[in-house]
Amino acid sequence: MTAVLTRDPVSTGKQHGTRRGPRRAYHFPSYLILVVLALFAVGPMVAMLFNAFKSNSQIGASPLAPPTSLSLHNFTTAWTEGGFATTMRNSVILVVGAVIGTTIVAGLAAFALSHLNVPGGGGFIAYLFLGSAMPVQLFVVPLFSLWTQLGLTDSLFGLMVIYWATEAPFATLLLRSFLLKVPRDFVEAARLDGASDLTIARRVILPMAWPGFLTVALIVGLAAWNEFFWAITFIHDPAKRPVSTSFLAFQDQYSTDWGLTSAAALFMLIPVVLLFIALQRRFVAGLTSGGLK
Amino acid sequence: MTTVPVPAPSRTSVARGRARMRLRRGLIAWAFLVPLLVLNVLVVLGPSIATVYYSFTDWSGIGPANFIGLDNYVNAVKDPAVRDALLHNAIWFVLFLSVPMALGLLGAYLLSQVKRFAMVFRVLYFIPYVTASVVNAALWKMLLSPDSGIGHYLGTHHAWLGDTATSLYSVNFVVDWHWWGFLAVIFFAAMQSVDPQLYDAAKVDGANKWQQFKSVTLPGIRPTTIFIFLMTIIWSLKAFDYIYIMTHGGPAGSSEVISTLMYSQAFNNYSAGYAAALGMSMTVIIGIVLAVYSFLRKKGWEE
Amino acid sequence: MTGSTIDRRHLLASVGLAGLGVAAAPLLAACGGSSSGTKGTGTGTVNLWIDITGDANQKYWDDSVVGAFEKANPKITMKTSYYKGSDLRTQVQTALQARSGPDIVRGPSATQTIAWSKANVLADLTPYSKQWNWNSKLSDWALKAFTFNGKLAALPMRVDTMMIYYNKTLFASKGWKQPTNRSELEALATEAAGMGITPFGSSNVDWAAAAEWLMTVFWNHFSGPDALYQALTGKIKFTDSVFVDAVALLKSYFDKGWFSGSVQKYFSVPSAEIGANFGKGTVAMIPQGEWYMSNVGQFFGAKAGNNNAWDWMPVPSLSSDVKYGTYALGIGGSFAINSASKNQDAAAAFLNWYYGDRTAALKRMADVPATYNIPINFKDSEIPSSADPRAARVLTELNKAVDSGNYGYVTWTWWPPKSDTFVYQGFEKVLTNAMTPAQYCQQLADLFKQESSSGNLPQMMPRKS
Repeated sequence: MTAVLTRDPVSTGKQHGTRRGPRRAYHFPSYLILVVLALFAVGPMVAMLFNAFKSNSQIGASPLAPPTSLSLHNFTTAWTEGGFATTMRNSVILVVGAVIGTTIVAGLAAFALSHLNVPGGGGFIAYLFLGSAMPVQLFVVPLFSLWTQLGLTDSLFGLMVIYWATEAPFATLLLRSFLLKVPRDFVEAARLDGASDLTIARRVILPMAWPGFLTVALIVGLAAWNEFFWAITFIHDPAKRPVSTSFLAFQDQYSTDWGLTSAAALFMLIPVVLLFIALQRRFVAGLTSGGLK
Repeated sequence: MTTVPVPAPSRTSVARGRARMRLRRGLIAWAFLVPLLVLNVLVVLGPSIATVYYSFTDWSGIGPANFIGLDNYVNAVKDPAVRDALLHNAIWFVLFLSVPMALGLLGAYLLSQVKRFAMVFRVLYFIPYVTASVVNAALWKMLLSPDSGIGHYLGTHHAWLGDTATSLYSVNFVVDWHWWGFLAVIFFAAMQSVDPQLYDAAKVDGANKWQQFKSVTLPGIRPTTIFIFLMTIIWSLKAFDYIYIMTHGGPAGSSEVISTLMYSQAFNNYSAGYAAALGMSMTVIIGIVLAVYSFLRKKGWEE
Repeated sequence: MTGSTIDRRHLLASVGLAGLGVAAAPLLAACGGSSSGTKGTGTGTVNLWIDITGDANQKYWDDSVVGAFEKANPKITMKTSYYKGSDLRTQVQTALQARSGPDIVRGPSATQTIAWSKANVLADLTPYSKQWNWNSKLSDWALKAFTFNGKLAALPMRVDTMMIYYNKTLFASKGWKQPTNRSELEALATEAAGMGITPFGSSNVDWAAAAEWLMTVFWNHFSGPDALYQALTGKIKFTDSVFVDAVALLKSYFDKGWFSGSVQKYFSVPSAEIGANFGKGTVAMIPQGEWYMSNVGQFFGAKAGNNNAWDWMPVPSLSSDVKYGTYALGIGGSFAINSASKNQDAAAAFLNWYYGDRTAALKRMADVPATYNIPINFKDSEIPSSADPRAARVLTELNKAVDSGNYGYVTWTWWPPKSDTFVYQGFEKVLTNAMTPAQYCQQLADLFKQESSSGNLPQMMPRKS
């Protein structure tokens, strides 16, 4: 066949390379589109990366051009002025707490909804869907009043509880679809052996469904790391603020310091990207093996 | 269920025994749901009930609230700003449901065709998704600025966020950009699990790439597609952060959606009772959308 | 036998009750009622939330304001949390509603403070005022603006006015003189536009309410303060042609492309970019408040990459009825004490130092342009010589205006809250041709009538005849 630049008529979904060699030329249009999509995806980030190394007057002069010298000034300034040492620590605490709490709560609920006969379970699932679709700005004032009375404002724990409540519905639905894949026979066998529901959860389900748990953990953790609306409303003590507030520190109504803001954005972004690179296979495998039943 | 040997029981006592077992099992099952339920009542349901109450009052957002019956709801029906916001929600919904999925499927399909660099592409596509909305919104606000943004380099000075005709679509564009990579990565992995023999069979039948996509790939990833579809519906109805940061619903309400209108009424217009009524209405609408969705599913959309 | 069934029903019922109980708590909290705060011992920690942004500005606040106060009052410790201006009001309001939040409330402008005062979330400052004789230290009109039903609800934070900043170097190089009336202004704008220079720079991207600055300028300098006073005291309506024409005039300037180049650019070019262009000289004038003075400097000089200088001039009189040298006047922001604060005496001590220590106050006004311009009574001679002459001129000109009666009314102080919001929200619709100036004024008039009949107007600064 000739190397015509049209759609490759011999395409497969096969994973590992049995089709290397001369056929590679046929993939050129695919690669082209993929590269264009990649530029589309990260192009803006590249602009931000450039700006992190430029001074403000350089940015003002040419906002999208590459830096002429790699100055770390923005990074050091943003780190100290944004208080990243404090805020990152707070965010890590938030993330860990949110992940642990949510996986436990969602795990229990998902187990029940998938392996136990919950009367009214279908209605409850519908309620969870509805709950996760509601605009939360709706009830920030009553919630803040309640949290004040419970003494949960200005506390990372209080914010964590809010994250548990807002993330758990979706986490439950996702986990449930994973747990549905655990064969009923295993569970039945364990029950025949007299195991209690809790033991079944621990000994049978968990070992088989842990990729799903990892996926949920990553989604919840990401949400907790990036979240800012609840964070700025419920945490006022500067010592307890999370990392999203550090990012906002360099913007005010007269100007945005783009150099510092870009550096701050990178501080927020890079830990997440590194984590994702390390765990991406697991994460993606987890997400895809859950379709919704 | 375990069978307990019972000596010659009567029918009613057997039935009662079974009923008791069922109830106990039901209670135990619900016990697993208690943590989720408690959290939900505390954080979502409780404040939502307060919001329902406020929707029947003239509460300004601070201070006392006086009961005014259905006035807020009546006004909401008459309010042209509400009508516009609902229209924008509908437009947003359609765009957000189609564009990211189309791009995601395209990217995923192409990724599944190539052998090298799949992992690199996957990471790159994912990056917008893992970036915080505040970061993305600030970044694109700069990129879309008429004189110094991307447009400048492409030769146009159009004010994407400043033109009432394009403001909503511009913000939607950014949110689509944020979301599609996530979908691409998910679809890609789903496509990995499609049996390659099905492709071979299709090729033998003479199918070209597009037909293979339609008849092998799409059905093969159907459960994932359904799930993504639902997730996207849920996400589209939230749509607050980006609009709030990039345009505040402006200019002149051209990018206002119900959630931003609600927020603006509550905090800028001192009409928190009215905002509560809007929020309640929105919840009802969402409920209807989800009900329609599940109805369609039952009607054989999935299997 | 039916024991389990009742259990389940009980379970569901108790969940429902829990929900109601949990919902009732915020409702009870929201029902206003008496404050739960206490005077405290006059010592301890005082919390303050404030919208000071930028590292240098925050350091100044920490060192020269809080630091100076703590040195004079060693038993009190101040704890400051910083916010962006657009976020602060909603955060504070949410906290006040929940009977929590900072001890010292950095509140919004006078008109919105009325709403807070009516909700009983602000402590009555009258006893403190009597104790420390604030009436003699602060301007009468400013205190009255924050006094409702005989109670002093807050202290005025900053004296606001509108002026026109201009690129002095540009003007000199083009041989332009400061315009003093409408025809001179329009001639200048036409000439600038013809050269490709944007006459006026303005944007609502970073501050959604920017349009009310412009409306303040046009209503005060075209319709005139006397007409405004009559409208604000209900003697004439906002539908009067003198107001409609002002709106139409402003719109016509926009339509000519004199503001930021186009309506769309007004809606989408960030103020930082406008500032940068102002520094470069591609924008000639910026109509802004005096607060802009603490930020405009960053766009000029070597650090910004140009050799230009800025200055400011009074807004030219846009009609023959208005005298040149009139200044729209008002108060931007307030300091109040949270009625739920447990340390009210200590908070009041800070306020007393902030307003009472004149040397410290005047030094602040000299160190930082505009931000710390509190309405205390002082003589021009008392202004420290270290003050930037442009900043000092604001103080002297405003003193003159108040004494001579040449003052007007800014919308964010003297208009009732919902009307004030409408001023900028509605104007966006006028700009996009979704509403005519007449319709705009009609809606404003209706809203104003509603609010004044529910008693939501601040005490007007009277005219000097």
